[in-house]
Amino acid sequence: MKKNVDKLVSSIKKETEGVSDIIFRKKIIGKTKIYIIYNEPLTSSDKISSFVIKSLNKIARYKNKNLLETIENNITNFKVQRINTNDDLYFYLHFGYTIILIDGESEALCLETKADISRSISIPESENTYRGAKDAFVEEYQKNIGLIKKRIKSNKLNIKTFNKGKYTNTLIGVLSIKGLVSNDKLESVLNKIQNINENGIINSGIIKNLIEKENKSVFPTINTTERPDMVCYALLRGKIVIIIDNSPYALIIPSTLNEFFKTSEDSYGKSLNVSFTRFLKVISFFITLMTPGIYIALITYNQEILPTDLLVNFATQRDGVPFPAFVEALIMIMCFEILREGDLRIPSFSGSALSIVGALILGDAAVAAGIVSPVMIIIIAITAISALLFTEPEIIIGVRWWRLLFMIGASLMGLIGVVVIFIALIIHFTSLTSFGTPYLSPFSPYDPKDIKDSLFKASHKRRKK
Amino acid sequence: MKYIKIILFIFVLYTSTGCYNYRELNKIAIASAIAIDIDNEEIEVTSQILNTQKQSSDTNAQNSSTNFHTYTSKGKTIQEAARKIVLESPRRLYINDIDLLVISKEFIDKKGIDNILDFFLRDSESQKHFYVIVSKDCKAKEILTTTTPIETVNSQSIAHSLESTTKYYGRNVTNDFETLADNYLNKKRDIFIPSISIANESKKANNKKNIESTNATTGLKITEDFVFKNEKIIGVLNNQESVAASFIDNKIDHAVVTTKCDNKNYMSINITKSKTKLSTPKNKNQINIDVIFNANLYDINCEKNLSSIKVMKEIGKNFENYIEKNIKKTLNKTIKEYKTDIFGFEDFMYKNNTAFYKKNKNNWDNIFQKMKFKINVKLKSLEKGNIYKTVEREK
Repeated sequence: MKKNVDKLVSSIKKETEGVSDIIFRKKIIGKTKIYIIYNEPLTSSDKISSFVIKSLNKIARYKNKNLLETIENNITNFKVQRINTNDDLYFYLHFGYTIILIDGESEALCLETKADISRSISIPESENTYRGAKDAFVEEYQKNIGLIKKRIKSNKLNIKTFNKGKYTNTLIGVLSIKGLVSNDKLESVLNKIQNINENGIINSGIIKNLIEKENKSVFPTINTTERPDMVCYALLRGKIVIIIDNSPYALIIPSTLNEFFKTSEDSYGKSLNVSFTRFLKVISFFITLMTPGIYIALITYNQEILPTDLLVNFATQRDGVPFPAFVEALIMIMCFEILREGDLRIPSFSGSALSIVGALILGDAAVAAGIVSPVMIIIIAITAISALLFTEPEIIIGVRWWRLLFMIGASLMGLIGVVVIFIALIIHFTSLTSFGTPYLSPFSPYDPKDIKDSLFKASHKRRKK
Repeated sequence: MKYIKIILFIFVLYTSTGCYNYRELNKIAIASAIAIDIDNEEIEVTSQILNTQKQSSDTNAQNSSTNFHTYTSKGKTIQEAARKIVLESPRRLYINDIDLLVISKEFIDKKGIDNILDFFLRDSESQKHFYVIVSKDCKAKEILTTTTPIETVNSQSIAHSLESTTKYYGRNVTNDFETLADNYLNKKRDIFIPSISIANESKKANNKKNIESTNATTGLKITEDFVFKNEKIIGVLNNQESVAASFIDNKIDHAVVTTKCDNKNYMSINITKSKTKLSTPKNKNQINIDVIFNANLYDINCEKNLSSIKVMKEIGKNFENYIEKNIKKTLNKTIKEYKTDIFGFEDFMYKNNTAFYKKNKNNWDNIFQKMKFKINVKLKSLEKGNIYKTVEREK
């Protein structure tokens, strides 16, 4: 850095020409010229006035030859740092620090004067539970780390930070617990993040797509959560967590299929009750995946499987429906997906209009008009409802492709088709890994320890064994 | 290469199975029963098609159509006749889900049952779990056209009637087609098939008016079992003998047995549990039939002191003897009179007394006639019910 402060300031001014909000304040202490530089929207004016300016005025009265040292020693600010390159200067400037340049010094001081411009901690919205902690991550990195550190008070909590993104300079923290985490996995995650070279990282989704093999599978291999307690459970199970500034969603690595059936509430329930819920979730995973396919297979190829009464019932309902069962199912599934997507985007005050249209027009009227059969409505309804049991949206969205495959298989070959697609699904699952962990673990490969908290949950005592 | 493997794999699955046949549900005529008659050397197939037309959504509206229709067509083979139904019906006949197969006695007398078995067994798609019944004193077609009360589809009415007869009456009438074919073709035993007839026959039988009165003028009734010798009907078993046959076959779930308690009056028990064990001593032409059963006393019309153990034992003995006598009678009738093996004793001896069977294999018919039976019926527990005495007003 240049020693002549005027020259330095003019070069900084030139460099930040387009940024209108950088304030340069000149001040003379003793006979030395100093500059106070800060980025107005990111800094708190209170902090600057009362902790920087006020202190400096006091310091002006001291008689010390080395001004840099005097300021560093006496300024009333909890975080003071010396910097000596222009790059550092710009970095801290854009992070909301106040820079003090002193004439004749090759080093500058930067002081923490960040403004609190994020929302306060609120209750989780996408992962609601009626028992369990009610705090959720926010868009502020420090707060998020705080929520985790509040729960894990240990020196072993290892946080490795990165600043990535050419323009955004986003803070990325990789958390793990020393001794629990597998070092190979941590190394590979750190390497992957190190190699990220993007213009900007706005949220955790970008990191997620960059570090997992994005389109190898429609199923997620990284879990996202907005609950600090889920993050802590994951850390204690030896997982790696990535927290990204400006993103209220943390990434949990690695995540197997089994992880998506768990909720934070599981630790509250008795293991027998939790087992029931788990079982229900696994069943509904297959229901949402396969019901339309199986139904199509049954009514277009394999009618002999149905009892006569049921067959007659179905046949009566199908009477007069002009489309083949596959097309009928496709229409209803598309309608449902459109409704669901609409429901996510629409502001909540017009949600009731959507539900009326959905329930009345697509359900009742479509049946009355003879476009779809009532059974099909039931099939699609159970398919849709079963999908709602999962908190991770990616898994429901991924299931849609396979549901479609099941339907196509069923419409080409009946139950044989369903079986073919099912085998394909199993092959797909077994070939999938999440950062080296097999996706079907602990079922395949069998893990006697983890299996106790999978399809069923064993009691706490048994899991300890 | 990976994709070629997957495609090959799917292709093999695709082609190596029988159940590949696309048919939309509203393009098929679902048959619930098939009746087979013979008419001037031509086979007449009647199929009962369930009405799958959408009913009016107004529940108060009177249903104008019946719940089923029947189509009849003739041909030289069953398949020809069955396919001819498309000439009348708008949809293709779908017989994979039938509940009932009715064969007329006339057909069996003339043609046997081989060709019927062939038709149904050859079809790779059809399920084989339907009941088989023989129509007595009427055409099989008439059975399927008779309307029945309570159950609106008469084939289901018959099927359910057969099921409850087996379960609560003790007659074993629910041999499904597969067991029947297995027993018949593998020569495990001679078969017997229950018969059905139209009670109070009148012209109204196939009319909806028949079931509009509270006491349906015409009804269907399960009557005696037809006993087969090879593929021909040789004789009948009446209700009592049919129950006794179930005892030998260990097929009793519940049954009501009635016998005399003194010279004039009767008493009944309801059998709640029964187990029959067949055994044969090595190298002897003998079969031991051991029946052990539990029962509830239901109905007793003569004065007896039921609190006395001795009396209860006596009553029990009465029933044991009665059942034993019936079993003996039934065995006599089938073996001595009809010379058939409806209980599969030949198969039983082959499995359990192999040496003896092999020695006498060539002369089996004679040996079989001389077979000895040692019947041992034992009432394990007899419950009195809620009251201890016979009902009688105090004097």
